[in-house]
Amino acid sequence: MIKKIKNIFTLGLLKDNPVFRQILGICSALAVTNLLMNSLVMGIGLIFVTSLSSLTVSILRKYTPKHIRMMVQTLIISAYVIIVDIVLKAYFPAMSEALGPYVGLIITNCIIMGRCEVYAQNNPPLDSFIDGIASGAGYSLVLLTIAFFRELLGFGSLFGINVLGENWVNWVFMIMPPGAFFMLGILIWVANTYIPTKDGKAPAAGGGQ
Amino acid sequence: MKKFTVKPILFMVVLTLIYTTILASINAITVDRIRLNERLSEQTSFLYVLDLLPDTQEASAINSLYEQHVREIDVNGEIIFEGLNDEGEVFAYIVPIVGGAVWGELQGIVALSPDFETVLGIDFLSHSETPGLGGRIDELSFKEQFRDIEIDPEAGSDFLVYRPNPDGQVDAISGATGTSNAVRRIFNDNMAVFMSETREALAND
Repeated sequence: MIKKIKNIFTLGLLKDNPVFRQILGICSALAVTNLLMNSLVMGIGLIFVTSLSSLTVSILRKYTPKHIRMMVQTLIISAYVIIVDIVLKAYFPAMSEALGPYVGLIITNCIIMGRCEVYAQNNPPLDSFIDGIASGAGYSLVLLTIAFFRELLGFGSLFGINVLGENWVNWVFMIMPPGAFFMLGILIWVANTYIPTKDGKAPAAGGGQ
Repeated sequence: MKKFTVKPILFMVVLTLIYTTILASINAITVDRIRLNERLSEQTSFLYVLDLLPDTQEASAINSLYEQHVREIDVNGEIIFEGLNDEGEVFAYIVPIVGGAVWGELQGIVALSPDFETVLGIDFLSHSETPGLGGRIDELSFKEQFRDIEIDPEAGSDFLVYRPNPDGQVDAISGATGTSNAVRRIFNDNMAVFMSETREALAND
């Protein structure tokens, strides 16, 4: 069991990472990564939604009529997203404001439906739950990495605390959307060069196929 | 043709019922808190247009400042607000503005000096403009332009004009012409009504 969990996490975090391997969830990865705090909250929200959606889909998988399973998945996912949205509005209004429409857009995040359809539909509940956490964590890992560089170079701070001192000239470029594209591109490049793929093959030099 | 079964429909109905119940109860638990947060953000806006915003974001501090400085009054059925200074004298009138912007209704408030010749500040309470483009009307760099600009209360229309017009008071947002024009239109329309009707009634009080 331990080995299995470890395997699920290696896949979700690195070898089959939803963002830089499956290229899913790019929209929000670009949008909320100008500050570490926003990325962290978005990541936690996604881990919550992915894991619970996968769990629920997996529990219901034997009773769900096959041809309406997508509809069922969407319903389950949106319910959890609304819960996240309400909780943020009630207890973290500032964060809710900062994330704006992106919390609602978690519904359309392909990672969640991808995991429900590919994994939870064919695996037992506990495995699916862990797989959801792993995929959500993989997404958070990428977001935090991108946000780390964007906030550091764009604002000279980390989690809002100034680290580069007064003389640092902010790279405005990093705060703006193009900065996210460049960071994501570089990250995918690095990942393709150094992190082995799912099949255990060494990554092809120069970014693979 | 495939045989029709009710099972999928029943399944969907039951599942929807379960989730609606869960969401409704969570909503019921948090609704008071959310309303409180919205109230707080509204009070913050009122203090912002009066330029009385404290450094703290504490709810109790903002609430007591609001109680001290803002008073709701009814002028011929129009609800407007008075801004009071520390001595309790009226130093501003706060007028709600509302109208259709690019994607939906825009609501805001404008603070005017008692002689109606100066705009003291503007804030937008709610709107649904494009984030990053029209949504930038929420940014301080746009709103701060409205501090202490002169308007002509007798103008009738075109109270607010954008630069580069020689008489322009503020800059529009580049890349968000639609929203900028909507803000100008809503501002001018609401001011026209206020100056011609509510102002007279206020003077006769």
